[in-house]
Amino acid sequence: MLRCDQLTERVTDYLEGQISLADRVEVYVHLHRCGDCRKYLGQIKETVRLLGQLAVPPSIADVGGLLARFRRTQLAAPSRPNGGTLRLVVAD
Amino acid sequence: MKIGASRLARRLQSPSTMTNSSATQLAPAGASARTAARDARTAVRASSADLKILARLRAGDESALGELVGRYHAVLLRLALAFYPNRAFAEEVVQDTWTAVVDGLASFEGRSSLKTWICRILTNRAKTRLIREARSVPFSALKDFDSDEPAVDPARFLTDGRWAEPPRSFTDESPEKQLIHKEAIFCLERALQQLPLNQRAVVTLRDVEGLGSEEVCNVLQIRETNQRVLLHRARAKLRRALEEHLIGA
Repeated sequence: MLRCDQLTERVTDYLEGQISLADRVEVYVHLHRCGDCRKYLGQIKETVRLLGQLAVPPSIADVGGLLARFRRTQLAAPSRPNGGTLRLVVAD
Repeated sequence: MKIGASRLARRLQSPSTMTNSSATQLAPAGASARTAARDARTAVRASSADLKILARLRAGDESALGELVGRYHAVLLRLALAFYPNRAFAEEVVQDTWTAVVDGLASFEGRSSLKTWICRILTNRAKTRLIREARSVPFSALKDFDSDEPAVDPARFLTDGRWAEPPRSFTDESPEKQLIHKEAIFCLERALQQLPLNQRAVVTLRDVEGLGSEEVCNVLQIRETNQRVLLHRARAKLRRALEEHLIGA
């Protein structure tokens, strides 16, 4: 019989679907009978949900510097005679 | 806008810079800028969106660079902060990463998603920098070792394994749900910073940024089982932080 303390250690395997069928059934049966463990599982899910709502730290990328580098990369591309079989860019 | 496109195209045609198969993956023969622009307006899967933006970048489209930065800058900053919760450090590592991305665009072979590739560059940069600058994070902290810390304090169980002190509700008896939510977010931010580095990196990518477990393993170069253990410990601690904070234990 799965114990409450054991269930709290299997919660992630259970949520990740990385658990054998037998173990899954055990977890399922336990959750059916145990309100406290249902609450625990619910709180783990709530934690994950809240984590997904964390605000993105505001920041400004130095796009200007990157653009300059990007242009240099473009210009630095060595010119080679056409010999390949692929046409990746049809832009000019 | 398209300056240098033909030169870049020639460069990409060279077998020495790219294998035939990967190049085919990246741009189907006959794809034109016009077609790409039209397709970009319709909803596409992430991977094809990757290929579209990549094709534009390789064609020298500068607006594509802005889009790329806009799309992934926040993820990178989060991940960098996960490695070392210091704003200046994170900003530097992210800037480093973008530089490496720009330099490496021509050699990206499309074997992973663009996001994974970029996050992995950041991971390597962050580790290198942490080691070089001998920050307070020891190198061993980047590896996967963990003691057998339980998800829940064993004192909260009876000897037969049943709850002695069951989980307390996060939300009930509160008229100010909005306030509770704000407090929860604040509490999580703080608790996240107190996690060990490896747990923080995993839970940040999985639960804050929403990457899949396979992607996270790829970015952090860890095995799936380790990833799951780290995720398990991190979530357990964060739940506990919320419980303690919101109940005011």
